[in-house]
Amino acid sequence: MKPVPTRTVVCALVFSGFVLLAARSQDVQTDLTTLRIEDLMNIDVTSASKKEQKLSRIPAAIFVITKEDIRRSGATDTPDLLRVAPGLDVAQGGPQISYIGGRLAWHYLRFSGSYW
Amino acid sequence: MSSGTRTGAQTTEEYRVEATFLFHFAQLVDWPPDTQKGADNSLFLCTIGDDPFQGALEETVASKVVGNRIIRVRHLEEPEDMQACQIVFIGKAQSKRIPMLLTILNNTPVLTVGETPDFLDAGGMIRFLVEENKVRFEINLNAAESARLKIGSRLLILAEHVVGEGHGK
Repeated sequence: MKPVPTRTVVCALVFSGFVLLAARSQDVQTDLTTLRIEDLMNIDVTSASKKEQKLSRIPAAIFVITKEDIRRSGATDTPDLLRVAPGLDVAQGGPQISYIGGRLAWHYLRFSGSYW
Repeated sequence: MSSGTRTGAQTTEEYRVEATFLFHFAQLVDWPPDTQKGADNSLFLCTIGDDPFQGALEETVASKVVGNRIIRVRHLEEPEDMQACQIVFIGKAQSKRIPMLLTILNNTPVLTVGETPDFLDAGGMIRFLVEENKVRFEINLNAAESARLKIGSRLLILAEHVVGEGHGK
């Protein structure tokens, strides 16, 4: 049982924000490309969300994991630690791969050449 | 939301549907054979400026295959880079410089798609509009033909309005 290295934790903090941000912009939708163009023309659309939105302006949920949180969490690796963040699900897909998602989106994370 | 639901009453964001239309345009438009560049058989679908699709292009069409070409999405900063694309979407944020952008393309075989009211008058090829909450499009056949693009008949039939129809000799 190794303690969580500080660098990893910093990455985790940065990336947990990123993952939530990315997850927010996606909802689970039908793959529209499976529809014929004729069917596309019958889809009701909304333009509720303004276009040309800069990624940096899309509101994101941010949750900071503090040193104290880390100590109390008992986490031994970064995916474990990210479970602390609300709305962020972490599923273990093998010894080296974790699937991390906020809401319903799932993302691979990759740091410095290694998947985790 | 069950996986079987496809064309139910649910609404979808306009830009998501338009992203998918671009995928169909890629299938229903023919580019001149000499524009297939080198060994890299990519079909570049580009936007200019901030991404108007908020990532929906990457989510829906990137890496899809059309014929023998893989769709790749590019968000361009430099207008000159548009010449390397097969499809360019020019959103309303670009409205002030649309004439300038279209001049840069000047009959190069790039399908130009826009959404501003005067896009076709400015020389653009396809324009999206929303009517009664449905995405529609109109086509400037003259502009497409000048750039040696062949717009498939299925697109012409579905178009709300075609400029230059019947002018072919």
